[in-house]
Amino acid sequence: MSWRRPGPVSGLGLGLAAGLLLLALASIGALIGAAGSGYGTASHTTGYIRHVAGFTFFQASLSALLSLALALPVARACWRRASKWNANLLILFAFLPVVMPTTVAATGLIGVWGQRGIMSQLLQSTGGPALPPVYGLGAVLLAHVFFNAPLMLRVLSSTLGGIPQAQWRLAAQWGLSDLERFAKIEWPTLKQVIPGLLALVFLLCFTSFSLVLMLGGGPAVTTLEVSIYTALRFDFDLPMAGKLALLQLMICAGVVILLTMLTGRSWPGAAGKTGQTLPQRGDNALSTRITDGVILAIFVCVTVLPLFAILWRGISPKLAAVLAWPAFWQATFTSLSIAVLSGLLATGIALVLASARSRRAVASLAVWPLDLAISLYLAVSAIVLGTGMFILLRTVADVFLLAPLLVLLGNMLVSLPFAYRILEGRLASLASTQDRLCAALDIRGWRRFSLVTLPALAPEIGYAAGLSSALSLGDMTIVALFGSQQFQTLPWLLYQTMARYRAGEAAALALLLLCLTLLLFTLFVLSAKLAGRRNYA
Amino acid sequence: MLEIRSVNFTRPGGLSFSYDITVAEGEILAVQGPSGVGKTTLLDLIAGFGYPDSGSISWNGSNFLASPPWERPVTTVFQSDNLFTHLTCLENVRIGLPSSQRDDHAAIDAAFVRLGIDGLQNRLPDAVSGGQQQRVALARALLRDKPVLLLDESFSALDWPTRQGCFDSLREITEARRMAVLFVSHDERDAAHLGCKSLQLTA
Repeated sequence: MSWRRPGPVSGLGLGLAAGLLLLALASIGALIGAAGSGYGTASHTTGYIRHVAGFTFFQASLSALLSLALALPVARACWRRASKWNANLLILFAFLPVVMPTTVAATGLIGVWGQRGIMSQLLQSTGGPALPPVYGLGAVLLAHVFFNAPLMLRVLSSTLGGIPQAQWRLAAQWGLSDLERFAKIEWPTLKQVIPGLLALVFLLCFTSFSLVLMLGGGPAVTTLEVSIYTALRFDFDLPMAGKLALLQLMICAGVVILLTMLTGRSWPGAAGKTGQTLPQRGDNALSTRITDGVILAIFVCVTVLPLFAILWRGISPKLAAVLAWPAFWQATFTSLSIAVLSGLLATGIALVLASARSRRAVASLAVWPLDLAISLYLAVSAIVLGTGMFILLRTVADVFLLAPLLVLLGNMLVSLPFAYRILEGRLASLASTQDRLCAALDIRGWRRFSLVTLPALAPEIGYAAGLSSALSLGDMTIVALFGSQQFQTLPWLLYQTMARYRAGEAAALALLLLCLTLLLFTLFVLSAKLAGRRNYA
Repeated sequence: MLEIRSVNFTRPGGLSFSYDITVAEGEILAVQGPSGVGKTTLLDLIAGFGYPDSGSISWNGSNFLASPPWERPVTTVFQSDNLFTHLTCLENVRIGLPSSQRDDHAAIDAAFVRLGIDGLQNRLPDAVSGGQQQRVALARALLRDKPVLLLDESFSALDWPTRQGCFDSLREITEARRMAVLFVSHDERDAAHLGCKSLQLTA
């Protein structure tokens, strides 16, 4: 006998989870069917798949390690030089890549490191040579570090901030050197989050599509995702696409299982409150200051300069020209419609699933069907899902006619795990503090949801909806499979503009897309905040 | 009369508690004892947040053990987390009242005045002290008009003069409304000031 009852939301959540599982299994089934319909496994095919898988694994591992190699010293330097001012800057720069479309980031990186980029111009102005074109493995790694070093920095900084003050005081009293401090105070805490962080970043880089497509520079630098796209869109080799997608799925599933084992249900994320920095022995030594300065300068070059490049190159006469393109307005309308709908749907479904999980958890009922439905969509990347849907639907309908619907569905499903994690954590913490009080005060059902849960959850709902819609607005993966001249989104238009070497227009488009993404994200966050503030009456 | 008869309860870890207690209408009972002897467990069993292995808990002869927490003739002020942080103090009081009482502004204002928290109605819980938060929760509990009031170390955050004021109000309301009150306390002065019976639980 328990006073905690799961309520009707539990049934609704289980129904949705069943639907999601069915959809994923249907896509996987279609991939298995296609993979088995080939002409056997020719040795050249096996060799090609092995090469692509090996390269994907290599670049993802290297990207994760390089991101950590940059983020760790920067986190330590920032912690040493912590102030309110640089803490806010840190949060801003660590947040921007989270919502920035990959296509926009690619133009920013070209703007800094390209043949005509900022660095090349600086070198030439001092009599040096121009930089070579920024394509290939180096560019892909640079792009992955640009996206993931800030994510790691945020987590590592908050981990350092979470070390008890007493330990910093002891370190100061004992006069520990920098190395001793790292080994005795920082590493024991950092080593708890680093494996999970590496696994998460590896997964993100392993499933990276747009950056490799735009910056890879050719077949030598190709990943499983890009190979699936090529097999499907250019060679129409369904067995090959199926095989590659299944391999990608298996590796991702392995990493998701590893990630769950390393981090439990919660992914590495920034903790809330952080402690204060205490002056330590050697912090003000000239050598430490110079080292910190160099480390921060490298971080700025890798992660902050591309943002300035987007602004600097985007504000040009080409901006007016792009604004006069009918294709731009058409793509903007399409992108915004899909992004808003996808954000709302992902957040709504995530809210139901997270509420069901929270209610079932407090009633001691099984929650694994809900967790499985969500984890599956972390392992099933956008391209794998899109390929499955392509194969599944092509015999019964014109997939290109269904493109808007498929892109909406794909974007929504891909952002679902992120929205779910944001809401699920908060709902669990609300349940622990509010369950008894609500039961004691007879606040139940819809009354509890509307008056207690929803207002308390408003910031997370806004963040989840903003993030989901921003991810959808910037996504180019699924539209790359289903896009056409008649159906274009902004990232797809940007990619095509870059492919036609119209660098000025591409820079202007990138700036517009970035502004729209930030605007949409901010609108969702602010609306939710305002909605949460309404008076109870 | 609140009657707790031959109630036995075993925690998942194997620790067992037994209770046989009676609290009359208009009576306050201070529940005291060292940590871990089952003071909060007793309140949880009465409020419906735990279920005894055997025995009965009744109000005026009616056993309410089968009822969920919201249907029991009980209201509780917990040790902490009594208020919703996104609602103002006034909203926190109103949300816990039956719909017929929510717009009785005179009664709500009087409760705020009586407990010395007048003027805090429109503040959020984070903008008032811990002691003031507890008094907002007590105001709500008293307004809920349930015959059994459970207080789980609800006054421990208050300084002694403020605590005395709250006790005076509590005694007055308990007698006027013929409520049965159980309050867990670590401070022996509490029972002495209230002039009430105290129950010493032992391991």
